Order: sequence, then C-alpha cells, then structure tokens
Amino acid sequence: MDKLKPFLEKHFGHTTFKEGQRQIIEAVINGEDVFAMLATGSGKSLCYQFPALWKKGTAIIVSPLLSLMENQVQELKQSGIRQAAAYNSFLSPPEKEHILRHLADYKIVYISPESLQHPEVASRLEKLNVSLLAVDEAHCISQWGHEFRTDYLRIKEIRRLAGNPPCIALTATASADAKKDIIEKLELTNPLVHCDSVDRPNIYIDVRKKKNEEEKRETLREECSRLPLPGMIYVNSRLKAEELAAFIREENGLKTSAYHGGMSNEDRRLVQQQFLNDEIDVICCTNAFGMGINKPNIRFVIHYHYSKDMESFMQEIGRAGRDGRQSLSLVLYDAADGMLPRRMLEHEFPSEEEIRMVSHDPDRPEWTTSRFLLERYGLEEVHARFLQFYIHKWYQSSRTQPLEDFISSVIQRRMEWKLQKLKQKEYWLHQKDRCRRTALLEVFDEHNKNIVTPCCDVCGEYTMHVYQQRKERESELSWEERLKWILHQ
Amino acid sequence: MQALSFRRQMFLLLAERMNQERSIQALYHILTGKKSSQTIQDIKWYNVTYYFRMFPYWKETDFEKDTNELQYLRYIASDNNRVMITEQGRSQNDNFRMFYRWPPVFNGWLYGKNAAVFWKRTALLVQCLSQTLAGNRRFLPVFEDISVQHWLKKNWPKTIEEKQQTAFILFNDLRNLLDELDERDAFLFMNRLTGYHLTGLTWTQLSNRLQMSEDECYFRFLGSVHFLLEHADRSAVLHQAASDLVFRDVLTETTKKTLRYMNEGWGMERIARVRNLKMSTIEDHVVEIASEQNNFPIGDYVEKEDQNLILHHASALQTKRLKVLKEAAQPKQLDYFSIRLTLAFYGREDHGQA
Ligand SMILES: [Zn+2]
Repeated sequence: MDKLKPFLEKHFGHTTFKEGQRQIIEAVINGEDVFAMLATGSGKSLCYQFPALWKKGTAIIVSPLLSLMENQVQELKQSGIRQAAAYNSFLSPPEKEHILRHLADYKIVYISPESLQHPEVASRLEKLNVSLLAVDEAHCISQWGHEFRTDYLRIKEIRRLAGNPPCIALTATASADAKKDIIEKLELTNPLVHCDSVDRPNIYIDVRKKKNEEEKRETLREECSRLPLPGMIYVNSRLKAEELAAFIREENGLKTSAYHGGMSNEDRRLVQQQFLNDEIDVICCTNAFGMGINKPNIRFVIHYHYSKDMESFMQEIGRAGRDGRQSLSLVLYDAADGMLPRRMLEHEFPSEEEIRMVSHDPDRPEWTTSRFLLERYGLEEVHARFLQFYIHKWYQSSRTQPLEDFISSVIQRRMEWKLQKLKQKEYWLHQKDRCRRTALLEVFDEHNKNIVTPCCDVCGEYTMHVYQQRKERESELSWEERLKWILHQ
Repeated sequence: MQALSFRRQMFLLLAERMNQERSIQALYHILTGKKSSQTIQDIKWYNVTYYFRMFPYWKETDFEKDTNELQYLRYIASDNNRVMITEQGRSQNDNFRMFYRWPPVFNGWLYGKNAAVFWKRTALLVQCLSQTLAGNRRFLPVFEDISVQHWLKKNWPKTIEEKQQTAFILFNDLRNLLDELDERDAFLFMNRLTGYHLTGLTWTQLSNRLQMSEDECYFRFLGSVHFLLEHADRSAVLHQAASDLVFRDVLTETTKKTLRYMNEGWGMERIARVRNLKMSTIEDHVVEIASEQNNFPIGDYVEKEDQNLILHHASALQTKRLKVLKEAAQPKQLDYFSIRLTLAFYGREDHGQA
C-alpha cells in the first residue's frame, strides 16, 4: 500500500506529487544522494521537507539567504509543522543558544553556511542524529563558492562530522559545468540526478543595444508606459536603483520602489511585501532581490545593466511569468556597460598587496582564522574568508609553491574563469544571427529546444499584448480610513 | 536665506542651546544618543534631552560633511574646538522656530530604545490582528525578533471574540489618541503600520508622499510613537505593550556597579582601586549618579558654601564652563570635580535649590 500519499495529504495538504517529486523523495528516504535541478515553483522544498518529517532525527537545511529561511520556517509553522527553526547570524546569542540546546527537538533546522562553520554548531551536529542534509540553492557552491561562499565548500566536512547522512543538492539553475562542480564539491556518491528543463517558453527574450544611457532611459520610459504590470528592473548599483525608481515614478506616474542591500531590514521587508501584494507596479533592484521570492504574475524583467553570467541571467528572467502567462525579458545595454562588472570582478578578490602582506607575515599562525585576518590586516570579510580557506588548503597541500604564488594563481584562475563567463554573456548579447533561446539553453546542456512563438528578437519581432487595463490610481486613504481598514472596523 | 536640511537645522538649534561651550563631537554624541557619562551630563546641564537620539543612524562621516558645510555657509564657527553659532545661524534658528510646529512629545532620552520595542510590539500585534481577522494565516510578519514574538504569544487574544474585541479597543484608542496629533504625524504613524492588503510605506515613499525629508519623517514618526508611549495608560492594549518597559533605567552599566559599592559605604579611591579604574572615571560615575538621584548626598562631597558659590557664578555668568567658573570662584580654590558635581546635581529640573 502506498504510505507516502496519506502522509503527504496529512502534513502538506496535497493529494498528488508533482513531476519528479516522488522519485526524489523516495531516493532520499532510502538514504541515497540526490542532485535535483527543479524549476522554481515546482515544489522544490517538499523534496527535503517530506523526508525530514518522515525520517527519524533532525534534517539540516543549508540555505544561503536569510529571508528565504524565514519564509520557509514561517510557512511550515503556518501549516502546523512547529518543530522548525532558522539558525543564522542575525539571532541574538540567547536565541542561538536556545536553538542549539534543543536541536534534537526539531525536525527541520535551516542554517546559513557561515553559521555551519562555528565550532559550537559543528560540535552539536556531531552528537545529533541528522536525518538528512539538504543544500538549497546549491549553485552557490559553483557560482559563488570560491570567492563569496567559501563556507559552502566546507559543507562536505560537516557532512562527515554528522555521520554521513544522505545529502540532497537542490537548485533552480545550474549550467552543465556547475552541475558537475556541485556533485564533486559535495562528494555525492552515485546520486540520483533529476533535471527539469530550464526553458521558459512563455517568456519572450528581447535584447536591444542603445547608443548611451540617455537612450536606455528613453526606452525604459516608453516600455514602462505600455507594458503590462507589475515588473522588475535589474541594475547593478544602489544609487541607480534609487534613481530609476524616482525616474519611473515621476515620468510614468507608476508606483515604484528601490530595493537594495543599503536599506534597513524593516524597509526591505516592506518593499518585498508591497511587491507581493501588488501595491508596487515596478521594483528597481540590485541582485539582492529575488531569491526565494515567488510571485506568479510578474510580467516583465528588464535588465538595465546586464548580469555577470548566463546562469544569473536565467535565474533573474525566470522570475517573470510563473503563472504561465506571456511575459517579457528585455535587456538594454550600451557600449559602456561592460566596465562596471569588470571593476567589480577585481574587487571580489584581495589585492596583490594584501596577499603579499599576509603571506610574508611571520606572526601569522598556521591555522589562521578569518577573524585574525580581519583584525590584523583590516581585510574585507569576504576577502578574509577567501584567504583563510586557501591558506588552509596550502598547508594541506605539498607546498611546492610559495604561499603567495599559490594564492595568486588561484585568483588568476578564478578571474579568468569569471571573465570568460562575462564574455560568454556579452557574446550572447552582441550576436544577432542565432536564436537567443537556443543559445541560452545550450549553456545548460539542453540541445533539443521546442519551437516557441513568440521566441526572441532574432526569431521575430513581437510586441507584448497589453491584456489588462491599467488600473486607475486609487485615491490615497486618510490615516483614519487606513486605521479602519486595517483593524476591520 | 536658504533652507537647511532637517538634520543640519536640528544641529544648528542644538548648537545654540549648548551655549558655545561644547565640541562638535559632544553634539554628535547627543544627536546619535551615545550613552556616556559626559553626554548624559551635557543633556542635563543644557536641558536638551529633546535632542537625545534624534538621529541614531547619522554616520560620523556624513556628520562631518554636514557640519563642514554649515561652517562653510557661516552658520557656525569653531573656536578652540568649541562650536560657536554665528549671527546668521541665530537668525536662521529664529526663523525656523517661528514657523515650525514641534511634535507634542519627543524624548529620546526617556523613551530611547524602549520606543523601538514598543513600536515593534504594536506593529506586530496590529498586523497579526488584521491578517487573522481577514482569515489570512499566511503572511510575512513585519518583525522577526524572537523577543517581540514571545511578547505577542503571551498577549495574543485566544478566541475570535477576544480578537475582535482587541481590534475594536485598539481602533478606538488609536483613533482618539492620533486625533490629538497633527494630521501628518497621524498619517506617518498609520502608514508605517502593515495590515491585510495594506503594507506600510518605506521612508523614501513617505518622504515622497508628504514632500518632507526622510529625516523629518523619521523624527516626526518617532514623536508619534513617543506620544503614544506617554499616553499608553489611556489604552488597555497600548498599556500592555508598554507595561514591562523600564524607562528610568538611565545609568550606564559601569556606573551602576560603582553605585552598588557606594551604597555599601565605600569611598571613591577604594572603588577605583578595586575596580582597577582611573580615579577620573569614578568621578564621572559619581557625577552621573548625582544628576539622576534626588537623594544624592551632595553635602558629603561638596561643602554647602562651595555649592552656593558655584551656583551663584553659574547663574550670574550664564555659563556652565568649568574653567570660567573655577576662575570666578577665586581666591577660593575649587576643583573641577566639585563644580561638575554641583552643576550635575542642581541641573535637574525637579528639585529646587537648597
Ligand atoms: Zn528565438
């Protein structure tokens, strides 16, 4: 008899599994490793939440983004699964202590990769009965891993420490290279590999080259006056996000807001909430926005600055049209746009000067901590973590190369790789003779594209039909009316 | 005369109040709410609790830029690292005061961080009531702090009737209280709240709506929160949100430790030795205590006659500068500690001269 279905209905309120879910869940329950690339909105989280409740012990979910964790814990609690918690650096010490002390009482604990590195966390995990280890947004291992999230690379050590529980790696977008990388870095053994197609046939892909910023703005103004709403605009700086939000508000009379890492937590939450509630028409954001946001009716994603590689691009345009209705991806670029991503690339790594200083310091202990590096040399946090990771790696190696050369060569390799990714993206933008969808899918090792109409600006022009009337701007509520509405009087 | 940004204007008003006797840094500490003995002394001597913690988020680098600009525009000048207000600065202030309607309450000194807790509790309660009464159980709470959620859990109305009742009371109380405020202050408060299908606005959005700088929006919003705190007794629900917050806990931690030793009858030298602190640090603590406690035995530290001498000169010369007062008291030799202590003790508004 099928025991899984009644369990599904009881705990999650669904009567059937979505495509692929069942196979993945059974594998995890049987103790197998899994690599799963699933389209967002296809019930990714059920793949670990189900086995977590089913199996004895505590499931550890490694998740990179705070808001994502909070959302999921909140959702679990709302559906009656109360033994869930999120452990991250934003908790106060007593709150952390509370969760750590009661780890065994939880069925699901979300944890950020950097928290996973803390000795007190690791030692508790050693004693815990870990039912499974899930790595959400696993593409971080490959896409960010070497510079930003070196902590991700250590997940496998934690896994060993916890007695080798089955491991499931989940992602929405991973290129062929990244997939190989993830399986290798997490040491998955004979994993079940499940991959959905990343194609989003209801998104028309449009790329337009502009002479300069002025022209980009003009196009933006035009598009915002005719496109169906709501939509998103990606930019690569906080300042630009603010600037464009004001521009569209004034020029198009739309409700807009910026969203970026420089805003307070409270304000960021408000913007996110407004957007989900359709209280904002257009959101102008940096890539700090998006992960974990599941809004079905986003009609367009405009890249006012292009993203640093094809994978991020796929992820970002994939936020449009989750309800299956026709949507648009539009990239606007000019010749000067390549400068900033290149400059940012350099800042991702510690400078030569810093590497020299750290390498030749006789007082640097063999097991350097990132805090030591942070305090002694005044390094940026990501740089400190990067150096710590590779200094340790060097000590573990045969040390035929001096430390300084070892680190410099790592950086050089990584820079070249990233630059090549950026160039791949730029090549895709510039070329006008191949279907954009075909070229995009090839990055993900998909070669049998379905015929899609409308497809892209190369295959044929298409003007998105505005099927919804623009709403009249509702009049502003007075404070008293607002109070009445909120408290249902 | 050009309009100053709200922050700069507030700085300029404070500079005038400080009587040209304090450094730019001292003013910075007041506006950002630094809790140190010196700052606490300053806000009492000059009676400027109103300005305490007005802009806790003001970055030091921005502050420097702002004050440099004020110097450049000749609203202030600096003399021996003391801030001097210019004639132009004074008339700017006069002009501002003539037209500005202050919020009825603003007291960063008294309400400070507690206002934030009170706000979070109220906002979360309102949001949860609004969503639950609309039958919606899936929403992102505006605040995640575990302590705030604990408070809510403890005070959360259980039955649907109780929830409706709470919403009804809260509605009436908020309407009555907010009605006493300026229209836009009530608007600011209500538009920071989030409820069913109505999400609060960010500072940028509020600033656009009201055509008022973000700083001023923040300041007036906080004023509304302080107002509700001050009148929390008039509302059963708000009272609950404010009840366990302790407002008079104003001594710094290290000073409290010194006070415990003093209460056991220890002398200042001995405390300094045991705590391994400098004598001047302990003096700072004692001054802080004197400014807070009505029953501080000032007579044990400063002769009655000296107290009167200091107070006399302070009032005759309209100054609180130690060096000036020390010179004025000659030939009598007074130490700075006695002067500071006396000024701190009598600087309080609520006990008359001995
Ligand atoms: Zn095409």
